[in-house]
Amino acid sequence: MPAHRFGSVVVLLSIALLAQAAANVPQLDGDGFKKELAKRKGKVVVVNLWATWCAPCRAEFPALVKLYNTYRNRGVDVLVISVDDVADEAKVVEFLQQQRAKMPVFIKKLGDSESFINAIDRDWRGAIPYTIVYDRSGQPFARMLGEHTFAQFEATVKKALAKRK
Amino acid sequence: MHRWQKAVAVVIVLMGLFAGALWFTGNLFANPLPQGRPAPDFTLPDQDGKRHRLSAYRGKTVVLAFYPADMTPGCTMEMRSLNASLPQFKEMGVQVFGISVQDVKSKREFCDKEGLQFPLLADVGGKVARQYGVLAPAGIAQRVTFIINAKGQIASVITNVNVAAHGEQVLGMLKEQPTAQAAVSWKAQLGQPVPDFQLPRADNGKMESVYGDRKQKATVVMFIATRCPISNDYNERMRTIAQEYTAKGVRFVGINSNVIEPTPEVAEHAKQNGFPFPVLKDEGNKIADRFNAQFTPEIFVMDANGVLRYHGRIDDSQNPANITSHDLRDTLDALLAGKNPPRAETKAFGCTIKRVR
Repeated sequence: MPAHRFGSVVVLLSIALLAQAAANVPQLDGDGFKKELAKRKGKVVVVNLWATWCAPCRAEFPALVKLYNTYRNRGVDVLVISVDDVADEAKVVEFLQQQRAKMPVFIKKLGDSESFINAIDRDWRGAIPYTIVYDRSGQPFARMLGEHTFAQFEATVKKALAKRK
Repeated sequence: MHRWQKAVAVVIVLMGLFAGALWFTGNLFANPLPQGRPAPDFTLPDQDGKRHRLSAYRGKTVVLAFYPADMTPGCTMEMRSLNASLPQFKEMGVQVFGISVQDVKSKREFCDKEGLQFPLLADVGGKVARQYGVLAPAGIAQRVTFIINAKGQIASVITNVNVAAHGEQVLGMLKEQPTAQAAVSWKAQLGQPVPDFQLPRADNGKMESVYGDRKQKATVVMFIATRCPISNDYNERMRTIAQEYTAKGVRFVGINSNVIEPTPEVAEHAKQNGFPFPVLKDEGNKIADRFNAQFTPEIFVMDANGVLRYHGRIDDSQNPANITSHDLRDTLDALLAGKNPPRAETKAFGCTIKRVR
């Protein structure tokens, strides 16, 4: 195989792989969410529900990126779950790339929104942005409805970390 | 003195004694509930047969004017006087009721004849008059007016009714007391009455009552937004559902509680989307707090008695092509058919209502 042809195959393959990676935000339903949470027991977990159509969600997103980058090695994990329609996955991917988001990201699986909302939190009615901070035992420690700042997220996370097991 | 003159004198004295006895026993047996007591709740029909539940007016000052009989001279003067003061009562957010023991048909005739524009309640049998302690032995109500505050307590009792100027008399008393409206606190709860409240319309600033003339079969309150894409996805659906169900006797009211969306923007948004319902501006999100409304679009449906029967979404999909459950329509169809809504509460994704901090 001539070198230039091999090169183009490699390029094409990489593009395909990248596109594949980009197009694959893992999908999550209520049960999947509980599993993801259970996996992280022992850590303080920040779960943020957002969507690309939600302006305050986009506005607070950099604070979550910073929170993850600052606390990822200090016993904290940050999960962001998009409730966009799966048909809008490309918009989700584009936004995550712009934000240089490195935390675990998910998109809500196609299906009944209500059972998903209830699986996340029975007391939640579906308004976003919505952030739940879980303590190390996996119990909800704080519920934060609406847009918040890095300082507010950080203060809550610090309190959750300080809580004895 | 002739014998016949004596007889007449005796008859006159006897009649006087009899009238005095009636007056005396009337006052003896009738003992109006005092100020400060909770006003007994009741449901009674008015001249149109529409049923009014007193507790559904919680949050509003209510004037309850008991009178002896329809179409008698004193009562006619009293009701005319109240009728003439209706604009002032309305401005103060006060609900006025006349009440007597005659039936709906009699009330209808009385209202038609005198052009009375407020509800006259038919307390046939005098059960409510008895509860309020104003039922005279003859089985009719005494002329006593109760002013009931927004918390449902008796704020004043007027026993010396001035029939010729009762409207002014009541207005005078209302002005003396602190408007209970500011002090009320209520929370909307499923199965409980939501009291009337007023907010300014975004388009002309005029105060609008959520229940309006109360002639509707159900009231839909929709918390909406100008900048929320989800709420905007529903603009078209809100417009068509409102058009369709207004024709069936349902009242629709939009409320914007978002602190970031100014009144002119709200008015323009309503105009551009051709909303056939008034959109009210809830400065300081006071009403959103009362309803504990959290997102847009979020829907609250009250039945004909103002009882909250449904709370939640319009339907289950932002994308009209994927709707499987038309929750608002199903709720209204059920209420119009006199049934319970299939589901009292539903959830959906929406934009958080931006509140003042």
